[in-house]
Amino acid sequence: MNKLYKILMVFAIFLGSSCGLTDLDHLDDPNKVTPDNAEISLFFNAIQLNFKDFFMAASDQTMPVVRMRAMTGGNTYNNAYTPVSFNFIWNRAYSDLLPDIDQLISIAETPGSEIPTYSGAGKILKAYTLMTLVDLFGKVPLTEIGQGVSLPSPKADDQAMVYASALSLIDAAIVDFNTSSAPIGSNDLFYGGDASKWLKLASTLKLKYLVTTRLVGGSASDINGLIPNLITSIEDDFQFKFGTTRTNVGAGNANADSRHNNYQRQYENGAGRYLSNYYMWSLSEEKGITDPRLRYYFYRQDLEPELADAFTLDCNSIPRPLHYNGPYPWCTAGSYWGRDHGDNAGIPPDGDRRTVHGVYPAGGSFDNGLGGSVQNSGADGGKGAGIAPIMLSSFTHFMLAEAALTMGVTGDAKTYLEDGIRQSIAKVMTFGAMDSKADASLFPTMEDIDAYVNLVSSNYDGADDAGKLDIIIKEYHIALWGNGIEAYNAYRRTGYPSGMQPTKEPNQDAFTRSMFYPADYVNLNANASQKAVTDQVFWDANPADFIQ
Amino acid sequence: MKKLSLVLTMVLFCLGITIAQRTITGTVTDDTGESLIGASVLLKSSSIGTVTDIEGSYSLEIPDGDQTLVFSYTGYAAQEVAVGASNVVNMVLSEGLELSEVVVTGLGIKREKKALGYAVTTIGSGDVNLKPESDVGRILRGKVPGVNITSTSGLAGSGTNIIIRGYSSITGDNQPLFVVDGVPFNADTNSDRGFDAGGATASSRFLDLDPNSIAEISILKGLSATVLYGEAGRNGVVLVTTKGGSVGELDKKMEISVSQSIFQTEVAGIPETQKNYGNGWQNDASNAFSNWGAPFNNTPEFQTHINGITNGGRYALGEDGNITHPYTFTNFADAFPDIKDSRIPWVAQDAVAEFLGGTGLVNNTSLNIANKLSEGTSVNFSYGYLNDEGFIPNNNLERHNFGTGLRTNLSNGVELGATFNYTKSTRNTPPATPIFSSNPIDGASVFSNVLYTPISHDLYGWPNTNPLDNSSVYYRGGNDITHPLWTLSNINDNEKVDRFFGNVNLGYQITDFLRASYRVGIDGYTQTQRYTINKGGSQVPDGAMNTSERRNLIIDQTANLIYNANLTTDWSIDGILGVNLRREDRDRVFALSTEQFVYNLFTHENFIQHSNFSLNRVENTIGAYGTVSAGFKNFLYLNFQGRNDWTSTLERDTRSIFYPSGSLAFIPTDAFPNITASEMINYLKLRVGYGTSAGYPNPYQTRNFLGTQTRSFVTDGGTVLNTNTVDNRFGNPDLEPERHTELEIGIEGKFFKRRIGIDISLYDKQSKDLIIDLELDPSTGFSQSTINSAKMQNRGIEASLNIIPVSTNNTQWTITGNFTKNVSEIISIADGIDKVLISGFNNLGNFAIPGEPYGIIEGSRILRNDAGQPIIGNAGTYQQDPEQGIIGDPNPDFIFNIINSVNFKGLSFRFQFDWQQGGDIWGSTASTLTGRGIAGETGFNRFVPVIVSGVKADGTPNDIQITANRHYWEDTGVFYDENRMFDATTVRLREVSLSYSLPKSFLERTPFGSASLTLSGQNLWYKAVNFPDSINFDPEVLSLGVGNGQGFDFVTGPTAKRYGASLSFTF
Repeated sequence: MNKLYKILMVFAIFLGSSCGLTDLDHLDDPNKVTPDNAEISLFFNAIQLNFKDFFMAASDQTMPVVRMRAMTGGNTYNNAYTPVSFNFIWNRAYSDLLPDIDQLISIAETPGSEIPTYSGAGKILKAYTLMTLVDLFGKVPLTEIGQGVSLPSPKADDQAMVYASALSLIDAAIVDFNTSSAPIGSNDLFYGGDASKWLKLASTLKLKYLVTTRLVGGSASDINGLIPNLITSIEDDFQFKFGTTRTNVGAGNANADSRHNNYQRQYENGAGRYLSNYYMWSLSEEKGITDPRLRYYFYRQDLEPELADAFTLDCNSIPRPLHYNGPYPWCTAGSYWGRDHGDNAGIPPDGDRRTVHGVYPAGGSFDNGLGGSVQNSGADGGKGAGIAPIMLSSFTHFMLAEAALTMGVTGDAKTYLEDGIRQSIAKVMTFGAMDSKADASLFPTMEDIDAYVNLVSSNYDGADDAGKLDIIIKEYHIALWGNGIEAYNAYRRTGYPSGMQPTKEPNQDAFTRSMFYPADYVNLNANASQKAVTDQVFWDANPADFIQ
Repeated sequence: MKKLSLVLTMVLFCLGITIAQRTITGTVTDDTGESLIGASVLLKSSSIGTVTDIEGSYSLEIPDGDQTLVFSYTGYAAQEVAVGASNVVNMVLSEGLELSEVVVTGLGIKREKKALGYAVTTIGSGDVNLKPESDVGRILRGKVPGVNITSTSGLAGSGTNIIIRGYSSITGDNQPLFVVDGVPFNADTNSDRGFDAGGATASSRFLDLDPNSIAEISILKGLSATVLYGEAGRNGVVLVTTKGGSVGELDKKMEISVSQSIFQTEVAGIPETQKNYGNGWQNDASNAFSNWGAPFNNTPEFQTHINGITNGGRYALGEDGNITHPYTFTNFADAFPDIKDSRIPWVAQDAVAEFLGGTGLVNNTSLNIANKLSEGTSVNFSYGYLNDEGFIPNNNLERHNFGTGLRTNLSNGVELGATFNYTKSTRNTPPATPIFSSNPIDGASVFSNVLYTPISHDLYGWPNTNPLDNSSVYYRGGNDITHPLWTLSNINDNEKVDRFFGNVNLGYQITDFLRASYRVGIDGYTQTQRYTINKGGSQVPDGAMNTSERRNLIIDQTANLIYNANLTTDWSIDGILGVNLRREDRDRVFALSTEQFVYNLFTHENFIQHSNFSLNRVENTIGAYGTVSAGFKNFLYLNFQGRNDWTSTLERDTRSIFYPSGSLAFIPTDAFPNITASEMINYLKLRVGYGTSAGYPNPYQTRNFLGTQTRSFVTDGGTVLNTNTVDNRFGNPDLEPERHTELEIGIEGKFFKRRIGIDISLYDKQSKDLIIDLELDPSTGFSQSTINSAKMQNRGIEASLNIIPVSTNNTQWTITGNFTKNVSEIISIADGIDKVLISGFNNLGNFAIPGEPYGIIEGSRILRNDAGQPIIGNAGTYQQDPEQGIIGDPNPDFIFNIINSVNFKGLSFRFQFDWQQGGDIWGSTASTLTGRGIAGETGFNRFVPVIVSGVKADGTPNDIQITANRHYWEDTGVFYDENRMFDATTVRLREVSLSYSLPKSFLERTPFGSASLTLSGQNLWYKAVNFPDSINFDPEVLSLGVGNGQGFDFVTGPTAKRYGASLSFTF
């Protein structure tokens, strides 16, 4: 018995000295913070940055179909995109933006300590996100979202319902901003906490809503009610301003590089994307006079692409195909080295030679016409301090021009058109100063601008109603550089600009009337199945084959 | 004060009590007087036992009293002897009726193999020591049925994947538990980078074991064998006993053994390239990435080509057979004024063969000193040195292993044993980031840019470094490919490990039927990694330095009460009751610096951008277990085991789980001895085992946390933004352990005078509530969670056949065949989820799909009509199916190994063939070399157009002519994953060795006890029969790294072969 007792004592020591080994309460991750440490201003920071990413990605994915950048992912509309290419947008919207905005609103509406400016801003950004999701994909989930593993397969909701809930969010935001409260101040990257500007944005987004849905019941009188309070001067532009901080290029660091995405892609060592021959041609050659924005939009690394060898630019030695017998560029747009629509050929070593984004809106280089590579590890031009042009005053004018012409909204369509062009040019020209090496003698003069506006105006005067709308949308298309979303919406809504360059492969399949659902949605959600790119979104009441 | 008295009690207890104990020694020989090595000596009805040494001697401590010793040896009749007054018991065993082998089982307990109801494979030191491989995992390849071992790459020190009886966890860990001298041993493969950034060839931490210091390895495969290890043992257990840890079995007074090995490492296979066409595209010379350029000036096509040429491009290939030097760029003009515009001959070079044709030396020295100080007290000291160079420069592994083992009997009857091991290693390796078809995905790789070296390029003759700024220079416009030789001298991955592991154990025989034991083991290591990239390359142009330090510590304590009793003359019973506490701490600090300031200086302060992070994780497990083993006479054995675990990784309600197991062994030849009369059947055993286990999630999966990030953005005005977010991972408080159950049946037998032996196991392992890292549709508000839901099964056969065609006095020839077949099936995943990515990329990787085997490969496919014919597009080439789909199954149909061993007097010749049937691999090496016109098969006349077989959109047969270049690049090359799949069936000469031991008579007048010379080689020949011949590809690579991915070759380094000689002596 004595012996047994001693053995038990030994075990007692062993167990007693092992407290650190027997503690099973290691459930909170020591490397993370618990949710009760949330800080509303830090949430708003994340929302603004994710919103920027969402916009940039949605814009980037829509630009190729409307020939704003080259469509090189495939040679037909059906193969130019894969469902995987939309995962980023979907993730940013649904797992980043919307939960964070809901959290922001819930903190900002805590009874007794309300901060209506935060909740208002959150609602506006949420509304924009929802509308854009419908614009891209059609039916998307809303009512069943955000519940984690307890509802793993949210059902897609009716498109018009999602759109309408965006509208009611905007209305709720207007109420919030009209409630006096502490401003959000410097924490607000868009408007520095100026509630009046947020209110203008709210009205302009309602304008966007009404113009976009005009084929399915947009109302002219509703628009007329908005006119006094729209974004009509470039000081009120809703844009995201990038920084110049360059971090960890190519080394896979999580911390964000603060520069414009296209600057990061094209001004380091990579070639980035091909620009669109058609879009560059629209500014450089189509009208017979040079667009005042041309040297701001595009930078030519090589001024003489026609001298490139057959390997680097094979189309130099290939005759223009028969189906390109229209007013289209072929191979390059003169000295502007991009790609034709749907050219998915392999990538030759032309990274330091093809035309790249210029100073607007990417914060790159102003084209002094001297050539030379910009792949200098982020040293060139505006160092990436560009903008994401989400909703600019010029856009307001083009929307009003369309609304005046087609819906009878108050005001003269032509005046709106001219104001749109002038505001766009003025906005773009403010970027000249960003590139210290820009040759100021190449900046457009007032005469250049007048000549351009006058040409458009006289063309406008000579056109019938359809032609007038074509001209309005064409100018909108040019002013939209950097914003593929509005260009894609306008093309599907109006069918303009007409006569854009067809795909390089003849016998084209039907145009992308909405994007593939993201692979993450289709593969991970039991209630989701892939759709056709020919599916039309609810506000696109046009015939099935009216654009290509 | 209370605590002090407890300690005093223990000290008094330890010192003050003596227990009557005696030591029995003796020798075991056969009828002819030859000593029997490894014969088992057991104290009857206990777990006390030993085996005889090389001289046939043993020494065993037994408690006083009436005791019986049981002597047994494979193929010999066991004998029992009652111990009398004498402390010397010699035994003569005769080759006979009964077969008994002692194997190490769970918790290191030695048992007669015949009493086990499950399969255990034991590998002796002879199969592990003096091998060309430095990695114990790789040495075991092909030697253990049911175990699939794959190297990640042939680079020295690269990791090794070990899978026992199939993958049974979908996204969790499927690697076995390593237990060294009774203590869990961390065998993680740690990398700072994912496979996509070069982590695939990271080393596995069992690399810290010196194979030459290993005395024995036992592999516990099924759950009925591993249940005592708790959930950690669910993937099988590799029990390693070191020489230091087995010191108690030493009998000779002193023995010093020394061995020295020298091996050479070479690449296992070099691709053969075509020699007719050079760098270019569409039969024109140009600075393409590919080799579809102009014919060389010694080919018949050259003249025709030159006559038809209109635009020679920048290369300006002329009738003189020269081209303009590809380095003729404006921006190289200052660096290489002599090269610009110079003309060089347009001829084939052999750069790839030269680069991969290098050799490395492996130098391995080991020393082992064992000394028996007195009866019951022995020490062992070992030291091993390894310098293992790879086949390419700057790849090496240097390792020092020190080990000490001590065993003594204290005068109070307490047995005390301890082992201490220290390992120090350094590894260097060039970067080997995955490649799809050109430059690395993320980071840098030496292999991609070497393998795709244009045939016309003089890799070694042309400069690789710009003398003005030390940057890489190469032939492409834009300088967008890093020169491989620049990569080799400017990018390095260095790893250093300091590791201590050891244990102290105490044993005490309380009564003749009760024994107590306690062991505390520690396994701690510090691993530092340092990945350095000079500025000036094209992938990471500004340079980077990535360092990390990992500190891992396992403290493992077990206390056991071991009992045994003879209930009646027929029935015996024994078992264990015990507790186990295990704590695993992991700390990690990581620093990343980018934008190098001064070239070639690697200090963090020499970089402009810095970011750091740290991580720590604690995991505690408490286990309590018990076993009961009952034996009836000597032919029926019944065993029950159960363990309950409590984990710190789950919430209180779900953290406890009990898992039972049971097994039964029946030996008909002992129950009915007259079966054996004819010598047709000498021995037969039937066994059945049922086991269960669990699996825990990684720590911290059950709770939500706040996403935070600092310096998310810096505004144009310089304001730094930090952020809070709702984290994208959904913490699942309802998470439970996953559950595995396994039924195993087996038969073992010896036939025809023991000339034929079989050992066959069939198992059926069902896994449910599997923990999966589930990607969520982001519309759930989250992108990831960990849930319990998936279900899968593994069914398989492992069979070992042993044939002794020749057995005479001085010649013995043994053939062993090992057959492994495992069939897995995913039964379900989760509601609404039809697939989960296991490893790789979402659009190309290993997936779990219900109804399919584990890890089936999905990727892009070509568009086909309903009849399965490819639909050819207007361009005359295949088109992509917008939906990805299944393109291959990486699981082998079976693995078969044949080991032949012939012993003739002092000569021993051994060779091992491995045959893997089936198993698909996505092969970047083979498809890209073909698609880029490098492979030997692509030297055909390329001026003849091609029509791809298939139908046009209207259903008519395709008649569109395209160039060979286009067809190979798009249709056979790298465009569609479907076309990049290969069957990995491989036949291989895994191992050959010839060794000669000097006869004892010869050594009598020398100080040597034994001396031998061994010539050996590993992976000397292989043939992957379904790969293009010219690629010479060895599919035994894992470009997704150690883990759950399989069947991918992303050009992360070819395999190696090694051969050389070892000398060993004992004094």
